[in-house]
Amino acid sequence: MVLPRFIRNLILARQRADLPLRLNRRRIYILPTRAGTVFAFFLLAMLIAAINYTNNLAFLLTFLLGSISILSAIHAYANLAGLEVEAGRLFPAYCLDDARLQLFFRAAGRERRRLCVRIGAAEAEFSLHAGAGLEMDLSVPTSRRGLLPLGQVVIGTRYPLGLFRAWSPLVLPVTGLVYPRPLAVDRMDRHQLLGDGDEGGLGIVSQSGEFGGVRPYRPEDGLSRVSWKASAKGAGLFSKEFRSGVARTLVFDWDEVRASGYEERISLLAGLVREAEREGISYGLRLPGLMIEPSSGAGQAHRCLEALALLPEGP
Amino acid sequence: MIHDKRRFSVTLLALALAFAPHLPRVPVFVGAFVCAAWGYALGMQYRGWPVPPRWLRVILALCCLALVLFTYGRSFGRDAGVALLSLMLGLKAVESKSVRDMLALLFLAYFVVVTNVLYSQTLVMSAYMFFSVMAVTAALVHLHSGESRLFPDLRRGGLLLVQALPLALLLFVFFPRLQGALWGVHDERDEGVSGFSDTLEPGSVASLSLSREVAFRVDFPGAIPDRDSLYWRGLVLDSFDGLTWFRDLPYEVAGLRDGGFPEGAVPYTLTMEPHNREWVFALDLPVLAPRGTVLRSDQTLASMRMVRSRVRYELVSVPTPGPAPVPGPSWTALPDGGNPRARALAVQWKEAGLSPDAMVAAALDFFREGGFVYSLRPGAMDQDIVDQFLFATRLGYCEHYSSALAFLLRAAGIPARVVVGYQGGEENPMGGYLIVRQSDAHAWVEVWIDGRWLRVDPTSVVAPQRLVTGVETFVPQGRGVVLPEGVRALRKVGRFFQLGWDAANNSWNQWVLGFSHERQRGLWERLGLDPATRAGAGKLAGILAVGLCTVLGVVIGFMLRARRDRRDPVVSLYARFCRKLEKHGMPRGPAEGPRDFARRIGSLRPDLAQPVRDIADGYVALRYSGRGDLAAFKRLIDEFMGREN
Repeated sequence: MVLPRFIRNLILARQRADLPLRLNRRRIYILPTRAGTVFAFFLLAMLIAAINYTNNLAFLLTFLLGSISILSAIHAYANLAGLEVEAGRLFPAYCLDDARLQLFFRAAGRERRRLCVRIGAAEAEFSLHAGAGLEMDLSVPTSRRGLLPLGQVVIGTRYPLGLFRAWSPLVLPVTGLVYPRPLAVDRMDRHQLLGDGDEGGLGIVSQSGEFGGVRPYRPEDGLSRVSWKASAKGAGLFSKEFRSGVARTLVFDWDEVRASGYEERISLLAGLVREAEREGISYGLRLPGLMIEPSSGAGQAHRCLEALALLPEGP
Repeated sequence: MIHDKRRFSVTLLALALAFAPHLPRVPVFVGAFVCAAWGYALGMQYRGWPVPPRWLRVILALCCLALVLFTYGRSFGRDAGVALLSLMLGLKAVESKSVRDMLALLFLAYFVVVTNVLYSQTLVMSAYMFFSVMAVTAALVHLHSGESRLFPDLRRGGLLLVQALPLALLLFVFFPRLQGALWGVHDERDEGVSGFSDTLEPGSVASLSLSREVAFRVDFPGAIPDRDSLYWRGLVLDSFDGLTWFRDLPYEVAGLRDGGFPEGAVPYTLTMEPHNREWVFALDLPVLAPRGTVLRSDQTLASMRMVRSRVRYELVSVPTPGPAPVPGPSWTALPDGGNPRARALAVQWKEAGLSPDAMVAAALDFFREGGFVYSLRPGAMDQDIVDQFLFATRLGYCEHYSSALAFLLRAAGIPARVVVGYQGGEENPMGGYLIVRQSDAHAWVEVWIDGRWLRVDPTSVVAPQRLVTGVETFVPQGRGVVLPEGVRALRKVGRFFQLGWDAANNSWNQWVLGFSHERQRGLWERLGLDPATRAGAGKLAGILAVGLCTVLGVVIGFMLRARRDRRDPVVSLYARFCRKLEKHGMPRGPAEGPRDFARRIGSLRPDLAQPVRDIADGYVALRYSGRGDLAAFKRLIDEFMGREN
């Protein structure tokens, strides 16, 4: 069933929520499941039989089962109500890869049993003790570079009997970033852009920088720089430090990359950034109207990829 | 294949609990099939046995259907339905793959529980049914909870049941009851109902004398009348064929007495067990026909329908017979030949000019002084049974005495008839009511004297204690053996529990099973409500609505209340500490760790820095390192809570 656009927008507006948020009766919907409907017919048949046979025990059992099923709706509601969504984070991902969505839940007041959080086709289940918090990871598929608004997240539960489903559709103020799909950098380009006259670009780091010992880890170093050997001593993470013998700095230039189309150019630049980051060299990016000064580390890669991701749609 | 073996086993266990009472009722092959199928289903889960192919399952299903049709033939009723249901339970378990299949199995389990009411509605069975409802509910919870432990789900199932009970009771009391069925009910509850038949021949009452089954229970609002006046009238037998007394003459419906009841009328409530006949027992002599019954001209009650379920009657009886019309010649009719000596004796009395009174007295004297013995096993008699009994064996049970007395009187030209019913009953001191059992079955005679039918009980002459202690005195059980004191005491205790148990059953029967259209109306009337009027119906609906909303409101409040985590004392202690600081304007930020919080507090209130840091350290040690001293932590918190400001 396709609803008119403005109605869909109205519904979405109602589902919009700020974080942190606590699920309450305005956000929770509850309806019988298919099994619940079947059960209702089954109860009706029992009631008719009880009336016909004027059998009081059958009456009592029918009413008992009916009451249990009605109460299970309350239990389902109570299982969801008061659940807190404390924060949500959508990690950047390359286009066509899955982006990781991290949601933080807290079970306020009561324990929670088997809640199901769903976004698109991704689904995860969790239970919580009273007062406990939990982070859930979900994968969100990506299809195009740029900003990725998180679609509708549905938190639902069929606990305890599966006769009713309580659910809460939420549109959270969480936006992710999708990097352009990086093109594999072939040997030619690699040679030309990274090798800079030297043969065998793969050895670049060890050639260009002399291993100069370790220093405490900083987030911008990236995982490839972690000195696992030094870190294994248990005194915190350490990074390998390289003394740059030859200051090697590359700037990838929008105009100098050989690519046939607009999007392909973006993808190729993304591939180069990824490659350079992998190699651990210092690099910059020049785009029309934007210059990112050379640097290295995870922060630099993110800056460059973000700039590429947010480039306007091509002609 | 179900990955979660445990959930499947729990489902199957609940199903087995629901099915257990049916196991002795279904044919052996059905029980064997169900057990085998469930065993195989478990094997599929735990041993990886192959899933039977579809064609095999279809063939099995068809075989089951054919077997049931073959066993039960065309009369597809309760038993056949349950047998078929059981077979389907077996098959369904074997093909269960998904959660939805298990859900279907559990719904079926609920249904199986409910089918039990077709067989038994005793207190024990009802309790068991509630237990199985809880088990099935817990299994449903287990199916949906994703828990690996069973206990929390059991608790949740029990909680649901406990919360549902008041709602169910409200609905039970207020749901309007109809009178009679919606459509014709074919009932096959014929087997195993004991009670006498509508004829009386030697041995027919004696055969009941060992049955402890309850025939009916009687509740007197006032005192229970004297035991020797407790004659429970069943039906009147008016014809004799030389061996058997039976009913032959037509009866009209008697007009009810006008102008209220005479002095000494006894009101009482009688709850009759089903006996699949239409007669209704009433204390000698009923003067009122409750709804659904008629009072016949021979002063017996008859139900308009077969009594197929336990029924409750409000009755009124008067102990003295009223005037009756002069009986016709058929009331003195006897078969043409046979029993010459008895006839001769009667003629002899008649020729002596004895009045009917005197003749009855003479007959009773004959019994009293003739060396008659009251016996449960008088031996078989074939022809001229009255003569044989009166002049040869002199051994007999109440049917022999009654039959002989009525024969003698009729032979003398005095209208006489035999009445069968029950005599006496056992008083249950715990319930204050009377239990009348099959063993209290009795037969006596009524003679037409001075315009009334008078009761004469020849047995009372021969065995007066029959009326005092009941028939048990005569039941041959190790006569002459003196039981040791201990055994007798034990018997007493046993009897005590037996009576208490009967009282509990009786309350269950009266208040739950016997809650009928009439009693519901009675309840409305006592509440001053008349559902026939608009205002009354509105009020009734209002009461129901308020009741339901109250219960639901309480449950919602209970379910939504915040519960402190009882599992972790460290968390709750720390929460107390945070609450106190919050009250003093220093709330802990949502993302603030305990140490950061302590540092911030320390900078805001340097005087608190030390204790707050200690508490943070203690908390961190207990929560995250797994080491730490809970008692010391508690002391720290208590000290802090005791602080001024």
